[in-house]
Amino acid sequence: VKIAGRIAAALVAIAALAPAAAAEPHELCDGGDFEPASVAIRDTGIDAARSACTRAAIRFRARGLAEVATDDFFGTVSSSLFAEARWLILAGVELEVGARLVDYRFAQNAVLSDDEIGAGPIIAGIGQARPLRRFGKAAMWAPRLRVEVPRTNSALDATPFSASPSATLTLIWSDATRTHSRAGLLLWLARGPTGLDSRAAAAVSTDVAWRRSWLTLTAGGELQAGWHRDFDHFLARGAVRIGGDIGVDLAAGAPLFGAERTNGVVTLGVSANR
Amino acid sequence: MLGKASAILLLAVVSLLTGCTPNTCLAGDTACNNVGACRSINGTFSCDAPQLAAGDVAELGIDLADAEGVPGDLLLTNGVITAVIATVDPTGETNSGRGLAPGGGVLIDLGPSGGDDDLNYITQLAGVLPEDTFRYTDLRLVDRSPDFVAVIARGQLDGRDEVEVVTRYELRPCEPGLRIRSELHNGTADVLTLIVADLAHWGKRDALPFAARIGEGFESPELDLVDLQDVYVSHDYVLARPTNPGATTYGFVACGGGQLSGVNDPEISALGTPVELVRSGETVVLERFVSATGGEDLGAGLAAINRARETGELAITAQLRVDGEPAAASFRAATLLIGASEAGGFRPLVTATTADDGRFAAAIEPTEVVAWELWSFGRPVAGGSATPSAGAVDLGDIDIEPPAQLTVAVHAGGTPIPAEVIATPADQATAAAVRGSWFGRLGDCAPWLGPPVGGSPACNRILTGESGAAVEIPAGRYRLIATAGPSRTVSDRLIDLAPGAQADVSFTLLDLDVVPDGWISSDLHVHGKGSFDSSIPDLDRVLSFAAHDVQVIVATDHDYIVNYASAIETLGLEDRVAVIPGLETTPLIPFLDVPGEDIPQVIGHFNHWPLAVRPELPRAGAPFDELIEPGALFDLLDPTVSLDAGIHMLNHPWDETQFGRDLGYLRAINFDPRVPIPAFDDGSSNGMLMRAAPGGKRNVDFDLVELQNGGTLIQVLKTRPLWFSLLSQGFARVAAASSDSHSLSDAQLGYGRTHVKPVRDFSRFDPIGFNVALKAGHAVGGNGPFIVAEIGTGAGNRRLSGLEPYVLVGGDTLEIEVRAAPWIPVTEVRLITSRGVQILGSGDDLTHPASPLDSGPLVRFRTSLAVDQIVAGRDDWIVIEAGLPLFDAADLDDDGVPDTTDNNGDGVIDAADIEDPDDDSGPLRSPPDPIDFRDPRYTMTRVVPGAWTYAFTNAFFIDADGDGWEAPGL
Repeated sequence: VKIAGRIAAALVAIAALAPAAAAEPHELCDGGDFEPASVAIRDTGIDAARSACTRAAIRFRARGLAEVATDDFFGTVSSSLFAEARWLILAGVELEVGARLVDYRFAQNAVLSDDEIGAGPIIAGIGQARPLRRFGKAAMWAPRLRVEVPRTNSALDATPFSASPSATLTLIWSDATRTHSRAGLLLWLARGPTGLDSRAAAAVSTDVAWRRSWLTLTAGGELQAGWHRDFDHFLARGAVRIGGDIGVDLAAGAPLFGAERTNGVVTLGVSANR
Repeated sequence: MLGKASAILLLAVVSLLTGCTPNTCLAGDTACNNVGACRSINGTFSCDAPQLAAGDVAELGIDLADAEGVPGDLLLTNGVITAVIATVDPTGETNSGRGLAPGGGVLIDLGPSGGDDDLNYITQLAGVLPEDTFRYTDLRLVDRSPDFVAVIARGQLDGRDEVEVVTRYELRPCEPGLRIRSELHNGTADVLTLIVADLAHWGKRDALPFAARIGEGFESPELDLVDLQDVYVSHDYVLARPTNPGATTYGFVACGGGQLSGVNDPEISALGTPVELVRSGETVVLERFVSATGGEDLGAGLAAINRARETGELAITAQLRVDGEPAAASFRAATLLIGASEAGGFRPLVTATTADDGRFAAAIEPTEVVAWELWSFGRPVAGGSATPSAGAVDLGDIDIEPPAQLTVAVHAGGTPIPAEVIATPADQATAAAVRGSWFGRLGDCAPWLGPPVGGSPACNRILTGESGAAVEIPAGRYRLIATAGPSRTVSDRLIDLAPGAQADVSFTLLDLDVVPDGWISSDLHVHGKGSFDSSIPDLDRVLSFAAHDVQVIVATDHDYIVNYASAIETLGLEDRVAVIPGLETTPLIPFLDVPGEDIPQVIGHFNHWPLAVRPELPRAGAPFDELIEPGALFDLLDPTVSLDAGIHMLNHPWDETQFGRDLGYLRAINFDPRVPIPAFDDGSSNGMLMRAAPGGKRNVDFDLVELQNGGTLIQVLKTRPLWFSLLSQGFARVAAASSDSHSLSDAQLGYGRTHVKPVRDFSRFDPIGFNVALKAGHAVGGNGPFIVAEIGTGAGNRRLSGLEPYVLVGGDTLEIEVRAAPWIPVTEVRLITSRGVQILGSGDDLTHPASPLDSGPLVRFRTSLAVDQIVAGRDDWIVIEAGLPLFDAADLDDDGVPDTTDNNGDGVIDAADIEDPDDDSGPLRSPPDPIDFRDPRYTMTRVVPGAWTYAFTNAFFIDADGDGWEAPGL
């Protein structure tokens, strides 16, 4: 109940603050939604890739995630519904607040199975888009920090905190084509009865986005290491988005190679950009 | 801008993630000072002289009968209970693990101080997969007396180093149990589906769990590993105890008023937290109180548990009357099962036996309506309900019919002898009236004279010593059959016993010349109380050796070494019975990858002997046998068993799985007897046999194959094609017959048995010579008949079966004589070579006794065969069999081994005979035992239920042309 209250408060804050966000996106970021495929492997979704462009938007995403490890007799599937709002408070500076509204997870091994319904956490983020002209092309880069707000995840007995600092470079090749290159860290701390647990990973990724009229296609890949104290994965991902400022997107990704046990992620999203 | 935001966030995170001291044993607090298990029961128990002691077993000694603790193990005692936790040895050199527990830190002894230790072991687990077992690597003793003493065991899940675990066993003054707290921390990046639970390994024939749930009591649903969660339910408490009076009752209850979730099965109980998703960084904690109390019933155990639960007490009393007069009764004759009458039905809560004045007294948790059943000789004979008033209820007078008193004695040659007397209902009315069980468990018996797994009388069997035996028996008409082995006659007697009657019955048996001079009878596979799945007292176990006329016993307890020396001395049987200490290695932790199998296997059971009892070592010197293949096991044991006379026997090679574990190695690896074994390990199932351990032994390098296991034909039918396949491929192995007896009733000792012809006879018994002769194949086996088979060219130039090839010289004959006591039916004699089976004689070709109670004729068949005609000029092997014709069994799953009989009786063995719709074959079942006493199998199946006469020789390896024996191939 407490978690639901916190999420509701976050949603109210979003609704209240959104009209006040009046800043316009950088002119290089006009021309539509070129976001990379929204494929997050981590439970909270904090590791999803972004464009360097900042903008005001409201998004809803439904995510399905599956892990099936036959050798270990392990399998889990989860489905989650995320909501997030972004707004520009200053030129290029974007605040982001999101929450996992509901999360259903089923897990089993060869003999035991259980399921769980939860909500949270709340994710907060801040980023700033800046133009960059060193590449002979129009480009934007953006440092960004996204954090999981502690005590907002009902599914965990431990008190987790995760953060994802990153820098993204978006090259604008033409009105129709952009690439997003991202380097970031994934940091996780949890305080449970046994003290602090920690986990960290570094990731680099590149995505290509191509847009024609109401159709946007993206494809990309991500290398990550450290989360499993090993090489984690090469994540192949792609998405299709249909629509203009308001659109529907379908994204999918699959970790290939490495220690990551997730087999695949599918996300269906609705977004409204300002 | 971003810098400020980051600083604010960092402050917020630090404030949220730091702060109070963790309430855990896992956070660097090595003494677990910040946790105290089960604080809810502080002050609940008191006593006159509080005391506490903790230390090494070597210093304190263990005041429990049948305890297993050894120097190095840690002991906790408060004078009320004593507990021993096995030491942890991270080097693995003296691995003190038990069964499913791969290391030390396991509770191996627990009982009321000065009483019995009836515990196999209690360990902790997080699921049922191999990597879900707690593996402790560190053990620490904490002595905070006079407040408490504790042992803290730390480690990880076996195979998941990122999942840390800790268990703290805490003992406080006066408390009749241990406070135990276990913690598990998921340090992996994954969501895990886990429990945290105690696993108590009961072993089917020892302590039985008792669940206070509607319709359960001792009859909890049996464990199904595939559908575990269907039977994984919540419990207010669980009790467990062996069937014998004076045993220890164990109690399990959650602390703080909660419930324990789990499953209770005669094999194991697993009691702990509900199944839950445990995410990365989360911790699961289980606190419980595990009690150990004495007494004749479950009463003291429940009293301790209910005090820990703070339920209050409802006092129950009743008066037993026999023939209208107040009288005490044995637990067999009168045990009260008391429970609550609830909307869903009867909820058993406790059992009660009578005091010396015939009064029942028990205390249960307050309940609105008390219900009760009186069990007498395995049957509920009375029942009722009552409404309590002012915290008590008197159930009034309970009348029972007095049992008859039966005294039996057996003589041979004019002197009393150890023997067994079997009571069988002689009419249908008696059969219907006297069939019973242990509160629905441990199988039915008619009559039920006592728990089948305990001492005599067990089920319907009475063990008699030289002074006879006296038992209580319900009134009825019975046929009593006395037996003392297959080299003596049997004797029967019809008796009518009225309630309260006294009958003295004496039997006289005659010695029969079935076994020629010089042969020694042996049972190479025998269990006793040293095994986790046996509770037969040592004295009864040893008396059964003599009663069934077995001269050499190889004591092969599961993962424990015994020699019965004390019991043999007590009974004065030194000149009649010789015990060779051995071992049945019984791995329980699956690890073996087998082609075609998704789930790892264990390697099944092997016997090894001779071994020395080493009481100062874990498991009395038995090695830790988990996680290694047979070849490595042989290498491990070879320095212990004598190299030239040490024996490794492949036990029940194709037995069914039990508790999800394969019992037979060849079945575990999916060996196909129709397919050649490759010359090296080629990755196939058959190739696994050729895999060698670093020490050089291959998995196929066992010495003996247990062809006959028990008196039935089931294992024989499955093992024959395996043994014959090995012989045909040149893997010359000796076949053996043994009983695998765990009690007086599950399998009859000495059926089957192996006769061995060493140089010295039993009067000058030499265990080395015995083993050498056995390894050489100078042995025959069976469940009654004896086959004398010799090969040679003349009367003075004959030899027995054996691994040494026999070179034909011309005029060679195989002389065969089949002998059997008249009560053992023999109607067929067979000769088997690699080319197939030849019937040498059947029906009227054999001599048959007029009555099974006669003393002759003993020689049923005799023939002489020209060997060159048998082998037709090529090298081959020859085996002789005798007994009843093998009943039909088909190989429906096409793996080369018979698996299914005509179970629906339609005359055809097909898919309609498969009883488990989830399986593709089975079961393979013996024909039912006859109920007409004129049937030739009647007498034998009273002595050995399910028996199907079978005897065999070992193989003669015929070298036809003198150039060395070459395997004929498949």
